[in-house]
Amino acid sequence: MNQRWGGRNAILIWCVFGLVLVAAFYIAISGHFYSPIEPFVGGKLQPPSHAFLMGTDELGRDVLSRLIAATGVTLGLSLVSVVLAMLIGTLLGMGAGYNLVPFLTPVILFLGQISIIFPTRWLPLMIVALFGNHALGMVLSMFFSLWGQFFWLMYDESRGLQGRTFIQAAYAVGGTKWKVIIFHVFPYLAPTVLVLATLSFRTAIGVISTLSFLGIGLQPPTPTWGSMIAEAQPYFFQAWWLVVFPIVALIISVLAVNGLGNRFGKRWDVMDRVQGRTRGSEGTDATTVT
Amino acid sequence: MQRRLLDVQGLNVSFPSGQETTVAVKDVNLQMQPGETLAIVGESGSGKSTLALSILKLTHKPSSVQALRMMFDGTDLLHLPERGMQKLRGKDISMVFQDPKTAFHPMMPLGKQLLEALPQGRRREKRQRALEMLSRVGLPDAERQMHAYPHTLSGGMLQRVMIAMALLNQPKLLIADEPTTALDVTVQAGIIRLFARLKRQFQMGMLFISHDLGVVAQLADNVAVMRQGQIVEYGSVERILQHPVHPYTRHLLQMAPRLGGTLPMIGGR
Repeated sequence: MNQRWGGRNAILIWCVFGLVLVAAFYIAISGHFYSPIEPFVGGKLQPPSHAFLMGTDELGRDVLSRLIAATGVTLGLSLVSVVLAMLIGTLLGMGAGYNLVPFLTPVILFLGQISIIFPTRWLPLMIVALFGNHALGMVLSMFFSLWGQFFWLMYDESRGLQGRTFIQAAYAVGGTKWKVIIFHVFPYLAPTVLVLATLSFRTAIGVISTLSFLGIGLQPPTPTWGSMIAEAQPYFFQAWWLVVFPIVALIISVLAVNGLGNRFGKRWDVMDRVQGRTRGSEGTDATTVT
Repeated sequence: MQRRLLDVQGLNVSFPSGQETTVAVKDVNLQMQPGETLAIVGESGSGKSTLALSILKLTHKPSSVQALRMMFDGTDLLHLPERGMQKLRGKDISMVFQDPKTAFHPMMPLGKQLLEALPQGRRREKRQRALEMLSRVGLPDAERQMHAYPHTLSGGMLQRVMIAMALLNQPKLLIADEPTTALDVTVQAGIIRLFARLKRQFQMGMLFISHDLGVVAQLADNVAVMRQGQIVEYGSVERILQHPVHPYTRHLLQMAPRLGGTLPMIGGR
């Protein structure tokens, strides 16, 4: 039992997970969920009470409902962009590593260079300026700052594998290039990619929160963690609940995703391959926004 | 005259690196009759493995393989396109690698890897054939080992699995690239006996690469001695072992360790 669920730490994690589920269920059936953008559902700047579990903000909106909506927006958009970056980065990386389309390889490599020469916080600014600050711009800005990691990981690893005996042996039993890539190279690299994806998710949360905090992310009234913290700033001394809850949500999710990535990395023993490849991991993710 | 199994003439393999080009195999001629065992002996770096890989056209890129003639059982390997080579590999010519611990995919069960050598046919029949072959190479508990991952088996057992995999399609030519070098001495003897038995049973040609002359004496019909990419002496195993002509061959024979003797040194190039 302990083995299967992963020991004592894991039991704690499952407990927290269960608690969140129960809380969500309670909120849903007890009528605590209000529209996250509807103003004056309660008084202005009300402290947490039974009616408004996390209080209300300066426009009388329910903080809990806003936090829930913001969680969906922040994590959802981050997830979409990480998956996108993983798919495209992996495909291009293997394509270039195996020189599948020879005349495209230099072009792909050039794009790959571009993706990693900009600091993770600058590139998103440029992309948002180009594509606008709606959901698509957010996803693209996170995608562009992340895909390069997957690209270079796959490029290096697939090139490194070409000299390994078991890959050569796969050719020696009559394997074709595609068969070797799909049945040998990809399964070998999949855990590494998954761990990198988990750690990139953390970076993505950092990026979208930073953008929102600076006011160049999704525009009001759509709530995100970053914008909630930014809007709450003037009321910090009157209404602590406006600042504290989004920050706690942000910290918990970044730490949780980070822990998950480390856990996967240790289980599959791929940490040394992923390390040094994650960008925006300079320890500032959770703190830059505040 | 009987058709030759392998006929290689004027084979050159070179690896360009920057301005310079390293020639790994230089002007090599080889002939093999069906069912013959040809041993290639020589020191490390003499081009034995490159020679073996060039027959499968699997040399590490970038490399250039050139020859006057490279015929395998009536097929011209030199002008055969890659697609044709893929059909040949693992079917008519198969290979046993030096170190079984690195030659298997570390994250895939052995059975799945074994079946890869059998592209056609129903799954159940393929499994049956694989199990049968595993027991023929003397692997105990074959049914269970099909589900095992490579790291759970010892080197000797893994080498037996690799031999079984190489023999699944009853190849006409088996290339064994120092198949016993990575194994313990006690296990080596078992693997050598296995090769000797399988060679008789399958009636296949075998290109056996080794630097162990004791092994060669037990298995080979003919011997080619390689040094610095060239074949310096070529003849029947009796002749080479008893009346070596080339000084390098004599040195190699002296190098073979004997009980109680002191180890002589080989002369410089």
